[in-house]
Amino acid sequence: MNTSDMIMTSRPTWSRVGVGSAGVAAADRDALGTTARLVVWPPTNLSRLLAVVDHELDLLDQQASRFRPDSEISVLHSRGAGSYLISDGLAEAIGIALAAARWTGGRSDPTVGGALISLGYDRDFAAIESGGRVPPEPAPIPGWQAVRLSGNVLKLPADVRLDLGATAKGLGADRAARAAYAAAGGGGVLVSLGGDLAVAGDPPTGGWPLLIADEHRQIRAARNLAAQTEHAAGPVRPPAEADPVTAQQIRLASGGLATSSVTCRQWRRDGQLLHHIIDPSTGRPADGPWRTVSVVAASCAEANAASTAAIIAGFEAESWLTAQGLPARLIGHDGTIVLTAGWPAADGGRVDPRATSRLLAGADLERG
Amino acid sequence: MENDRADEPERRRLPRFDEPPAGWRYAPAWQPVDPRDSGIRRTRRASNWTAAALVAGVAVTTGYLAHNIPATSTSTSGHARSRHHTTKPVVQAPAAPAPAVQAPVVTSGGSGARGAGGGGD
Repeated sequence: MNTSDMIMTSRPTWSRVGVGSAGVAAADRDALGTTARLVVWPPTNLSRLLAVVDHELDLLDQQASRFRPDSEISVLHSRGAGSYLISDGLAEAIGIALAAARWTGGRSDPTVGGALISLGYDRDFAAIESGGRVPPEPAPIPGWQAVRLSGNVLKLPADVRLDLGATAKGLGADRAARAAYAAAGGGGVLVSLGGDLAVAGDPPTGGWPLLIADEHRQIRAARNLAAQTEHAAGPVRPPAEADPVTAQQIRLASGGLATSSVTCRQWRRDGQLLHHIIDPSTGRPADGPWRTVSVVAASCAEANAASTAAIIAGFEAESWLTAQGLPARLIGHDGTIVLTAGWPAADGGRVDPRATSRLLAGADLERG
Repeated sequence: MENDRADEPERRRLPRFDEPPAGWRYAPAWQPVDPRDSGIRRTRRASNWTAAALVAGVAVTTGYLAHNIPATSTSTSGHARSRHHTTKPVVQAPAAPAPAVQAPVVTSGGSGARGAGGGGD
């Protein structure tokens, strides 16, 4: 990489990455504890859209990050129980999280923050230290019904720690893609936050080509390795190869795609391997049959909520996803692959989301 | 000669030009104006001022919004109205064909954290 590949904006540094096609341009930066990627066409749009994405990601971080002591949600937590007038942005994020909880039957529950903290996930994931103890009793889950949101007024009960992890990254991708496309005025935009992604505008011919894998930094061997290794902003771990059996390429023309997996964001306590997807019914990491679930939906927030809920739902996941009409791909711990609602079996097949978002309609209702 | 005034019961003198007609009374100077007329007048005056204030308010608001909202923003979240959001829309050449892209541009998988992580990533 030469210096012309470094794209400087006000704060974080974007690094241009090659994605194997001259028709699109892409750049990466660290954001929200993971990697953000912006892909656009025509390629000339890239530079000026980075600032738009920066703006949206910075806003979300200021509103909803529980790892920043000065974020709006951290200030609420520090003040404890009460009724608060909150910003439009945080109200939207909490409204979506509550709507997701209602829609998924409580499987995706934003009140698991206390349980995550008790298990050691109390700081940015990269700063978690191994060691420490697992509490003998799981932390109580207050339940999403205990939280009330009316317009911009949030009623927070005592001892509730909100964690918007099941929906916030999806919401961030939705916001950023929408804003970037509005600023572009044409062409197409894709925004990925750690593999949860939203698209806006016109896709490349046939749809945006995407790889489904257990972990978002994995790549398919011998296909675009040369393109991917062009990524270089300081010391970067070489991308791992995706499992050739379970990885699949698909195409997406609209909406959003999210993948939840228990194979990453793992840490150890008392010799136990823990992960970040908490089952609200037990207060412990979900231990169902699925290791990775990918869902396509009308928005990335909806796909994000559904993929998290499917991991927690265990053996009920397939029937729930089918009933919701959501195309999904579930990979079991033993490598078994299950497809629902129009997810293509063939490599390179196109996935079309359901036309309307039940989650976003529900979020409006949650806010009254 | 027939007297056509003979059957009139009595004669009345017409009032002089500077006299009020018979039966008229001037209102005393201190008598208030009809309260209904006063109310209507006051209401009309207040309405005029209200209308003027509304017109001025709308004009000021329109001017403010025209200078502070990006014309193409479609975000539904409140932050889209931020006055710091100054990205200008750019008109795109209309006929740019969508590119053909074969290799995956993104991998969708579990979101591993940046950095070393907690030992399990």
